Amino acid sequence: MDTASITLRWTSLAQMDEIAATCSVLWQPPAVVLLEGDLGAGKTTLVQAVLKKWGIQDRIKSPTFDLVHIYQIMHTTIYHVDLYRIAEASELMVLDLPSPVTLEVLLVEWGHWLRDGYPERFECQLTRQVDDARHMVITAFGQEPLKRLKGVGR
Amino acid sequence: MRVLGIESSCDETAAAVVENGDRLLSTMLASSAAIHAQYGGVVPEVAAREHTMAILPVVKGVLAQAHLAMQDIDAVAVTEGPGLLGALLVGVTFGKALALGLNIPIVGVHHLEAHLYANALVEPLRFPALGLLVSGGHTTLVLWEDHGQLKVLGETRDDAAGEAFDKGARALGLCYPGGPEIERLASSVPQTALSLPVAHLGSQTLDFSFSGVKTATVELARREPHRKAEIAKALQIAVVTALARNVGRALDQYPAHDLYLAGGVTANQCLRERMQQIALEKGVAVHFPPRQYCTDNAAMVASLGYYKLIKGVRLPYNASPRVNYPLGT
Repeated sequence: MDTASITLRWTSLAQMDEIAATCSVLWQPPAVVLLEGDLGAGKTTLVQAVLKKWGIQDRIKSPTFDLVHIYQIMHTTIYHVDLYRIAEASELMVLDLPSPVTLEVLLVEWGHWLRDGYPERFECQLTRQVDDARHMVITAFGQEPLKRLKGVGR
Repeated sequence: MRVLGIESSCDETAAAVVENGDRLLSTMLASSAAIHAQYGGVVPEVAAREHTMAILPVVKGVLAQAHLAMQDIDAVAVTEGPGLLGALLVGVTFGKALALGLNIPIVGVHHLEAHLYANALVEPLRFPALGLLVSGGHTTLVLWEDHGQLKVLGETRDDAAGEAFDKGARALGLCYPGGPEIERLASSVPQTALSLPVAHLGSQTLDFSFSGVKTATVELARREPHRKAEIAKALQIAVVTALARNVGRALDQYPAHDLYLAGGVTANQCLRERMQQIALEKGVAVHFPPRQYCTDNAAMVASLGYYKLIKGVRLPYNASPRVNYPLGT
């Protein structure tokens, strides 16, 4: 499958906010976004910023304990998922996540578990660097994500 | 009125019988903590499967323990949400079927509100009060004016206090759940020369934030791999300081005479001591639930259920679990 990547970097919350604006365009529904990165890399913080760009005014908390938090904008359901506690793929069944063909947004921290289920997706690898800068590689998989990634062009 | 309480929102399948909201007749947990310890967290499918397998034995168990028959139960109270759909469904469906079969009323309760009622098992609740819920998934400060009248004053904007302990523990190579492990390690050193940040969100807010201290703990654990106990102590101090600061602020702003704590993190001794100190300074009475009722249990569910039942609240037979269920609504 064709893939393409872009690399983004930020050193302040203001810069992250600009990147969140880019992501909010890139990740318009339908979209599946799998985020990876060590504890403290900034996954939840980035998701919070993107959800705010979409106009969500609810409090956006870490879903680590609850596993799935659901938000609604117009007719779209946004799933903020955290698979930190998942130990094997069979456990994903109970989460009742949407199928790849529905018009939803799935933002999944520790999301590698879902690679096989969603051929069209973005994978984001976040890294926290020694100087506290954040580094994110976004890779698009599948036609629509590739088209969108070219659209934001960097 | 004897209420059978059922709890199945996350890790635990639990049942209890409580009379008139305050007299605990029996309580039981089918703890799957041993299974979860292997995985380092809550394991949803295992949890759901455990609930299905555990619920009948646990209900029969509490009845036997209290020397009661099914017919001796006057009502059922069940955790309606928030929680995982698959887990909640087991308790709600079982509770509804039981109530229908016995022709007795059933009521649904909010899991977090129920945590506060662990305090009702010790002595009658006094209002207006301030409530602090601290657990792996929640950090919420409420003004509690009467039964069923809660207003959220502040809550976490990112991670929960217990999550900071759990993830801090992971960074230090400790087991799950992290809270007790952090406490044990922290108490092995008299003091710490290290410090971790307490989030400053502004002098007006009663909100919390534990994401920064989590990241700082991970970083410190990497930089100082041989000072684990000191890091644990610094983490405990940072978390307790943040909780104490907002409780102090809230007590200055609201006319509460009592402070009730609830949730798993309430078992932490350092937190208890700090809260006692604040209560003394502010002239309020502080209440902690017995340690065995800090974490998820069904006695708290039965207690809250009683107070809702006597007000006439009922769970309709077509009700589904409330996965998203904001407190105070």
